[in-house]
Amino acid sequence: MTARKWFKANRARFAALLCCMLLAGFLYPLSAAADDSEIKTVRVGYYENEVFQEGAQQGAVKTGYAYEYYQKLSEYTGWKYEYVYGDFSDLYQKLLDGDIDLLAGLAWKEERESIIGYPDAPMGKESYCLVKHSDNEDITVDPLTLKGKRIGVLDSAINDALREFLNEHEVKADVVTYRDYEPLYKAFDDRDVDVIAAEGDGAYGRSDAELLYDFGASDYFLCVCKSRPDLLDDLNIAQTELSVDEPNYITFLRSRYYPVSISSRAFSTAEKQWLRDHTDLHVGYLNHYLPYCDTDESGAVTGLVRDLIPRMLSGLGIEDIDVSYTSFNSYDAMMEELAAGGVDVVFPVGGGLYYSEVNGVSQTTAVVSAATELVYKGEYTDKTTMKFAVNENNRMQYFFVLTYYPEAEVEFYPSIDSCLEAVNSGKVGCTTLNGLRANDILRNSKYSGLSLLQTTYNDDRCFGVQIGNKGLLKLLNRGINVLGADYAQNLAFRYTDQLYQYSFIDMLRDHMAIVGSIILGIAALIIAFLVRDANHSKRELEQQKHRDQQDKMITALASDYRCVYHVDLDHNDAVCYRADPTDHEQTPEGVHFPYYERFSWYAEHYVAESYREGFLQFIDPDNVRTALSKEDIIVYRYLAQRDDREYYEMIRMAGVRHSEDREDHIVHAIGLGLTVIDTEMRETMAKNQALGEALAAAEEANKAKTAFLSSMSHEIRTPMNAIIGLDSLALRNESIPEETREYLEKIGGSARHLLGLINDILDMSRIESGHLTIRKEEFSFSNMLEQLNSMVMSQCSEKGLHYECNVVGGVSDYYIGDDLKLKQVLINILSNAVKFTDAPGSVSLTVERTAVFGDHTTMKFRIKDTGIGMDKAFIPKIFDTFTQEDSSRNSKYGSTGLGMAITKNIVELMNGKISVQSKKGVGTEFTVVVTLINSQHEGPATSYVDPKDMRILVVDDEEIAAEHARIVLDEVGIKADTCLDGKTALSMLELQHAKHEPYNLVLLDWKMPEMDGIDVAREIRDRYDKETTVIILTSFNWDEIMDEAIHAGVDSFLAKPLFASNVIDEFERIARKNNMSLYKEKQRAELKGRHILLAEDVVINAEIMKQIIAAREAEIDHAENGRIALEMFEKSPAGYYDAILMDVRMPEMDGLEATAAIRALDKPDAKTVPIIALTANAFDEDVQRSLQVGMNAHLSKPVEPEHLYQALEELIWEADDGKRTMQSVY
Amino acid sequence: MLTIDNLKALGANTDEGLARCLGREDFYLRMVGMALADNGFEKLREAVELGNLEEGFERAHALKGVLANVSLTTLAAPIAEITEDLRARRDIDYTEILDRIDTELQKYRGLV
Repeated sequence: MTARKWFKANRARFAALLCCMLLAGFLYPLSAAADDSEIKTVRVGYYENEVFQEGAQQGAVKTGYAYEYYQKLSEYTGWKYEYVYGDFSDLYQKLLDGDIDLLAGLAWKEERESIIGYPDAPMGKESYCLVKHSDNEDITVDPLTLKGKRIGVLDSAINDALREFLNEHEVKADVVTYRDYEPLYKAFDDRDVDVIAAEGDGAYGRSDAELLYDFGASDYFLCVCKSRPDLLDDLNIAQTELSVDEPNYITFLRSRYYPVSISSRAFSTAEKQWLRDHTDLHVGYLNHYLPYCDTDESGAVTGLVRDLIPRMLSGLGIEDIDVSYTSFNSYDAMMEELAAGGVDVVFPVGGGLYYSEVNGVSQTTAVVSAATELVYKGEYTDKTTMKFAVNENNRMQYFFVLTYYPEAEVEFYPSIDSCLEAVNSGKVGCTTLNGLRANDILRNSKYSGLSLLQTTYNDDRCFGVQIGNKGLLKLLNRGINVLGADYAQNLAFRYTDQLYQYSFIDMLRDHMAIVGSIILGIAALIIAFLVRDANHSKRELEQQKHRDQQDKMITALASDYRCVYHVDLDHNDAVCYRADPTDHEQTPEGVHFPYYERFSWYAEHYVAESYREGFLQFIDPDNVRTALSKEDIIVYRYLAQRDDREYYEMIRMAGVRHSEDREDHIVHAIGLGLTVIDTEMRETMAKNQALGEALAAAEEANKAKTAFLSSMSHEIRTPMNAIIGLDSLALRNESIPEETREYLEKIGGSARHLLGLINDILDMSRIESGHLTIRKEEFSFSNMLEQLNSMVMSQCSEKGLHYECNVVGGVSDYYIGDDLKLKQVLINILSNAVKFTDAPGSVSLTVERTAVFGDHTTMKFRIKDTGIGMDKAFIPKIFDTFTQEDSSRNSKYGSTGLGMAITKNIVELMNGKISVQSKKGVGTEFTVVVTLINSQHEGPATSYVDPKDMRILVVDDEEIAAEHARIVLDEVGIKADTCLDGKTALSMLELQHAKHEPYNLVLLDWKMPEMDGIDVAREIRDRYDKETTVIILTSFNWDEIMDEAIHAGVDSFLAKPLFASNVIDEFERIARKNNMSLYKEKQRAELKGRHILLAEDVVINAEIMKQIIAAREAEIDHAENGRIALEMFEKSPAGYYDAILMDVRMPEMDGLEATAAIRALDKPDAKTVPIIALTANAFDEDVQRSLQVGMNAHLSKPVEPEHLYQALEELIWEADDGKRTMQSVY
Repeated sequence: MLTIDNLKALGANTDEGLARCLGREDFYLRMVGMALADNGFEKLREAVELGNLEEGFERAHALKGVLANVSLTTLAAPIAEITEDLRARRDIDYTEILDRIDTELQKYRGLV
């Protein structure tokens, strides 16, 4: 069909059309200019082509496949058409020249692609068939039988398809091309060709033509003039939308306009066989079943069946068949007759395939497919369908009820009328009526009380043949197909009237006697109509109301949005629910469009470039699914650019159902909304900026404060160190005059007070910045109390106060918490109590365990004094910073005004409570309640540290500070060494390590030239592992270096200047924490049975050494000098000697030489055997020298046996363990 | 008579010495006897008087070790003193210190 008739150009008409077209072309710009840009006027090339495109002249009624397609498109594009008439070739040229915009029916050709615009989707599809003469037996469905045959084909797209087909099957045939159909058919009729290749209906009317098979298909398109890419875009979008809305639209058009195809006329073998065998067709039909079938007054068949059969036969080109009809009053009887062979085909058959099969009947495709209606009286309830009235002569009805209402009770009646009466009288709940029949039957006045409800079940009405009668079944199906789907339905109205007319006449007769009755009857009829309509419209009204409500709901919910869409992610389909009236580019409401493409387009056109990428990512369907599986609603905010202005907008999406509500947990459909958020966004941005600036300023200020405090503390503490240090040095001089001593003591007191103030300020700033942390470590509660008591006791006795400490209830020795902080709290309060109480007053501390729950213990501390007390009004302010009731007291009692504020903060950090009661002139009572964690530690508290056992190294580049520290420690009996830089410190540590007398604790100044405290700490950790505790001493705030320092191996920090009690406390704490004793216990080996080589020239020394070693049941070999020792070791089997004790000063060869020689031996144990130097020289340079030659340790004479054992046992264990390789320093 | 009590009376730290000898009194007293019998004292005086400070240091250093080992503290003290002078090769008059050593030594030797 398509373009093939273009050559039938009608010159005269063409001229007229050309004029029209020119006129139209002339008018076009005017109309386009007059039109709003929304509505485009599109010039369509319209050529006459049977069925495809008819009415190709001005004013003529237009029909056809293409015409309907244009109208359909316009629903989507909004195009207004202007038809330009002509024959195909002229119009094609116009399309090329840009004189028309659209032309339908073009196949795709590569060479055309550059000159005309093809949309993405075709407007139709043409299949190609091969047709032979039906008497030609040489050619079968096997393509190879085409070999050497002459095949006629039109010189068009079919030709290409044919050659491709032949190539594919490797068939060489003689292909003859024709320019037109006429010569082609002539050649076929003249048998010049054996086969023709034709389009779908190409062999129409040729009885001797037989279809072989389809060999290909070609799409044809609605093409667009190259100069109108905008139209092509519109077309593409419209086609996509159409394909989403009505996926079968093309198929529908095709079946509507081309129901008769070659295939529908080319009978199969079975059909041919049936036709050969039969000259008659006996049709059985059911009476009283209009519009389908009935018998009229003359006894002749009426109804659809009367039209259908002849129409089908003629449609199929079957002429020599006699048709006869037999009527049946009962469906069952009709079926029996069919089974008996009395009729070939029956009509109608229905009630579902299953019951047809039970009856031994094959159904054809549906002649009419109509929904079944339920007929009931009064209100429709659940009970309505409990009991059905069924016409016993219409088995289809029974089957229908059985299928869809299997629970229902069925009561049989002889006719449908009696069924309806049964419903009317309330004997049954309902009955059913076929959809085509229902309305008209119920128009009868006697059924005015009945209502209709359409079921959702279609009950097809078909022809029926005996199962196995394949030929006839196929013929009938083919015939129904030829008629088209709507044929029977459209025809039905001719007969449905009779369903009603009959009743009307009948009614008139019933009421003839009284004229009034007629009027009444008419009135009744009108009422019947009204009631029926009312019933109908009531339902419709309710539905409409529901729709309206939904609509309003959507409007209300959408009020927050500029526009709202529903998107089916799986099918990339979107539809607009609420459109923005100001957005002209938008797809109108209700119109479907491809989601991703359209919103991508939106992004390209309206989303600012910097946001575009994000927008595209946001709308990506996979991203949407992923995001909505985690969030209920997702949002993207962006800058939009539209109508020459910029504004912020956001796109929001939410699943129509939440992902968790779905079995697959994936969102398939979403609601999508766009909202203009310009004002909010700009306000928020302004606020954020203001907040950001304020925050930056605040941070800046805070940094400045921290820096200030840090530097202040250093700046003040450094001279304070000097003052306190020099003061204490000066006080050690016993010869100073008493007056000077007094001054010096006051200087010291003031300095310490000032230091306290600085420490308090730093504590406060640490609390405020959140740097103060509460430790959770095991501590000895009794030790803490003891220390506290001895301190307060001495303060009280100095002042002449009575002090007592009471412990109530069972208090364990150990708890887990922060004892230092707890002590600080209690000391603060107790010191205040002492401070504000004058002799002969008293101060008391009561400790009470108030509760034990789980792992926790609640402890209550009450500090009571008989001091000056406080005014009631001041009590609430006591915990504020820098508050004192009477500032004049400050000078008398001396206070910083921060103590209580710090105390309260610490208690709160411990999750505790602090409260106070006081009465002026009577006294004050503080209560502190804290919760501690119970410890598993059993047994009495033991002090970890005996100051006499401690060896401390103080490293400080400021000599005064170092000396002060030494003096302070010396006062409590701790021996401390000092040095001024890290390097010296490291070598001192090395010596002590070699002497097996390591420092327990190193106090390191943080800020030192060359190596700072942290560098030294790192070195110490590298060399000696945990042997030595390292504390950083600093006058700075150490919060900032804390992490780095701890990472480097620093155990803790102490503020300068140093106080001995702090050192001991802190050291104890660390020792507890590390769960170690003061002297780190190393792994030791058993000495029994070991072989020791002793090099010693002095007999007495050797004798004593032998005794000592023998006591541990080790064997000792004695060499009188180094040379002998070297020889003995050299000759011994590898590993024989477990250790060598080497005197340093010996004749012949001294210990150093001998050690160097032993280490240089080529013997497996030469490098590993532990060698211990023995010398009376404990001078550092000697130790250093012995280490340099490769000795492992250096013991001073006279040697303590235990010390020797320890050194030997440890070194042998290490050598055995092989863990420690020889280090060069040893 | 060389006894613990007598040694203690002369100022020796016998507790320490005994401890070093694991409490074995006879062994300890034997070691003390050996130490007192050492001719190193004479060799020390000889070397110092001849001005051989090198030799003198070696002798003094060895004696210091031995005396410390047996804890004859009062004798060890002047020996330690001369050791340090000799270590430093001090060119001083050693007569006084040598005499002090001798006086102490004779007290101990008197016990033997």
